[in-house]
Amino acid sequence: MSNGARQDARSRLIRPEVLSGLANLELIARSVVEGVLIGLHRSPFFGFSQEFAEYRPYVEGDDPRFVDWNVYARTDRTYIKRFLGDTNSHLMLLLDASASMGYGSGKLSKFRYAQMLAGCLAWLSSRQHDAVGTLIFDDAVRDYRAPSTRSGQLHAILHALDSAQPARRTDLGAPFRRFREHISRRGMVAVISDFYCDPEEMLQAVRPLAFQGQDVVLMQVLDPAELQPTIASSTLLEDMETGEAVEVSPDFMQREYPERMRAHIEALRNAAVRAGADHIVMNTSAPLDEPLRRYLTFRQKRR
Amino acid sequence: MSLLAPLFLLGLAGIALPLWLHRLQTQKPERLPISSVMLLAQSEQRLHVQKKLRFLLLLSLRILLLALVALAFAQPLWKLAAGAGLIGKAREHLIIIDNSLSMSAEGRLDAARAAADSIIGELAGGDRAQIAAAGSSIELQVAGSGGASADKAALRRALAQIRPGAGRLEYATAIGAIDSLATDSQLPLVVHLISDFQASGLSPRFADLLPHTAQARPVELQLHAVAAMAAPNYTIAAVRAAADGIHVTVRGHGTPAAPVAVHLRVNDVERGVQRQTAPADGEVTLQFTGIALNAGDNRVLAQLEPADPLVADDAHYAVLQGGGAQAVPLLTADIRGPSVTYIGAALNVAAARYRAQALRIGEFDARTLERYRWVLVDDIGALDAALANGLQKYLESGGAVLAASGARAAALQTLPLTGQSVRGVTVRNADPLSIGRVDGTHALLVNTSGWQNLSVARMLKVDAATADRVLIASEDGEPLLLERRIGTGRLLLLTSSLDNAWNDLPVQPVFVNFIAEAARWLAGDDAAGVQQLTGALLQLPTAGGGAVQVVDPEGRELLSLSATRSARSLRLPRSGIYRLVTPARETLIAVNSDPRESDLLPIDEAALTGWRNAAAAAQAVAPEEGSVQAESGSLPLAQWLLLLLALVVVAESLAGNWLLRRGTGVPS
Repeated sequence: MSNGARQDARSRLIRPEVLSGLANLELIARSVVEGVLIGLHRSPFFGFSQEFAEYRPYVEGDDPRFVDWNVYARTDRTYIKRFLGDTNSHLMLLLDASASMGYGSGKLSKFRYAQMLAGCLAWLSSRQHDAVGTLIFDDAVRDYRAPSTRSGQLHAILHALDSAQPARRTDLGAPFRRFREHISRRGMVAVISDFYCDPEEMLQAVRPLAFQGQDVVLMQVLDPAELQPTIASSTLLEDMETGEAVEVSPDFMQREYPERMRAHIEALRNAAVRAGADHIVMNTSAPLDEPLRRYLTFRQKRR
Repeated sequence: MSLLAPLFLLGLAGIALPLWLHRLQTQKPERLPISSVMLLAQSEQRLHVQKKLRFLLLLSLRILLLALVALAFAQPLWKLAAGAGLIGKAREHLIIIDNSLSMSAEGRLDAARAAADSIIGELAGGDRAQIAAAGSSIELQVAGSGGASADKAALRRALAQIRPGAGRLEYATAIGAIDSLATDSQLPLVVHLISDFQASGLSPRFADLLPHTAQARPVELQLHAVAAMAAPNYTIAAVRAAADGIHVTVRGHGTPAAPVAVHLRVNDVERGVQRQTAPADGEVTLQFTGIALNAGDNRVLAQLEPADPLVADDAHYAVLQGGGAQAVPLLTADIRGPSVTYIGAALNVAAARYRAQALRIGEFDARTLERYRWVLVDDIGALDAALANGLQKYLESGGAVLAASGARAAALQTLPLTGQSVRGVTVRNADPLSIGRVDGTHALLVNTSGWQNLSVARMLKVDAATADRVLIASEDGEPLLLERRIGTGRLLLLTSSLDNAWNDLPVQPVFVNFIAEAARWLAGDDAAGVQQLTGALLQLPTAGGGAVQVVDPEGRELLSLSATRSARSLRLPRSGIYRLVTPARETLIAVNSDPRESDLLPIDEAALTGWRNAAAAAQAVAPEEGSVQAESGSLPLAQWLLLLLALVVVAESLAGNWLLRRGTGVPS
């Protein structure tokens, strides 16, 4: 894709804060995913979606909608047409709904961005006929839906995502243990969180998933103000989870804090590598197509 | 502890200001949510706590500063019980020494110094004192660094500076000056008045002799008499010119019948001695006949002999006018005209010092104008150009002119000397004008009356310039008499005539008085009297802003160059003949001591005892009225508070500056 074409494609994308104004998460997911796919169809991006893979004989239990009726007319046999996207993989979305995710320097909070991102991934995976499940957690599991390709699963997931509210503290340990108890099949696990935790703690929580054979991608959602804060005067910053307040000077926030954030992200990335996971930093000011593209790239590599 | 001005404690409410400011500054900064504080430095939190602590220190300093200011204004006194130490018994002593003329009598001032020295020697520890000399004026003798001093050596040096004076002391004046002489200290005040207590110095109101101060502090008056007995004393009461010579009056106070002798000097030339027996406690006049005085002022000194206990009043100075009345040129076109008659007659009657000398305008030499103190012109329109020019210069150099108007002035378009345009002549023969307004505040007119009876048939119509002062205006508002300053001189312009052709002024009673007052005012006789008392304030003439100089009897100029134009008065410190020099003329002033100082009769013992008793009674009442107990004593804390205040100000500045440099922000 040329730069001009890329910019043209981006220009059609809707800004996250505008998307957040849409009340329906399903509508948001559909808008984003369709936009991304339109861009992909124009690009030399191979191996996705409706690309033909093989024919196999129809067996009982297969969905009759996938019978290739042209082949049946010519050969009088029923074959199922299979595509590259139809990998029978499943995607598990782990959404952090702790209070810290409610932070947003603008109209869009990290949690809303994460909701939209999870919705888009669910929509995209559903379109791929992947089984999709969700686990919404804070310091405990708030909602769990096992991966499934059943009709209505997508709407149930979107509803669960939409109705979640950020609250309480973050604890990766307990929810991840619970998740490991329920999951048995290999698949993809996308953890959407701001990851304000000790990287080692994160490592301890994620590593067992990798040992299970899960492909884990850590999507770290951060607000622009968290990456490059701007305060004009001495400010008392209050932790949204613990209530602890710390007075900071503008000088500290402009010089030292970005360095600390960079080091924290780097530590998370190293921990992710050690756990065999991928780590993606997502800026809530960036359009959602970027994380989707990165997700697809990640999925592509997995295949 | 008590407070002399407790209302100032309301100033403590000002403490609310730093409290408010610090509350603004120390209240928590803007509170914003953040996802997690795990990446924030814990040191920021610790710094916040330290800053609040530092602000508390600054706040404390500022509150202390304001509290000290309010407390200092409230004037706290630390009451000390009787016998609580030297401070509790401390007193402020104000030693007033009479150095008036009478104290020059032999031994009196020395006795006063000895009494003062004794008081200084008896000063207790913690006592402070200051010394004042009281004569025609009351002056503090500065001891040490000024103010009340506890340094006895410095006080004795100040005492030694007191010299005999030539003025007069009224005791009520000295008592009334206590408030301004005493310091602001709250120590009990003891006033020592050391004097010969002349009976003539007593006030008619006895209450004026009792001390009272505006401050609520006890005041004790102690009278120290240095002359219990009357001393006989002769003095020269008067020297005056008579037709046959000079008469000198000698007055004896408490004297027996005895011969007295007077030496007379006129213009520094010995003119003889006269001896005569003076009656007991009475006057005698000695006549120096056959002495012809020079024209103008003559310096006369009458010296009494033999010398008596009070030498300072044995000489008497006088300035006597010689040569009869001074001529005043009456410049006229007709030396036989009615104005000459009227003015001549009026001057003869009203002002013996002057006589009109009618001179024809065409024959008068303007160069001789400087000889005359003032000049009369009966018709300003008759002046020729040369004379008008001469008069103009005469006025500018300080001369004085009374100019009237007449038929010749009516014919002019512009008046000489004033340059005023003549708009015509008001003619009211059938219905003469009366006077509409008289400026009774002017020195010329303050002693005249009867102008309302004046009828004016004709008068010039001229406009008064801005600088002119209209002294009399007719009923139609036209100026009848106006004053104009020309240079340092002064001109009176009468827009009507000085004869009875245009008005009936010459035949009105006010005319003589007017001419007399005009002569006095134009000649400047009111500016400085030729006889003054020692210690009196000589009012210096200020007309025209010209320089004035006063030369004392020794020939020294008393005014500095800058003061010659700015000084308005001058104290005459001693007897003698002074010269008052103005651009226009030189005036001799004879200065003699107040004759009441020559009467050395002291207050009788009963009256002095009554005075002491009344002062003691007033002192006994004072503690009940006041808030301070004299017996217990009190230590004023204001000065210590001010010292502490200064230290707190410094500490506050240092703390504020330190915080500012630390970049933590200081509430202002």
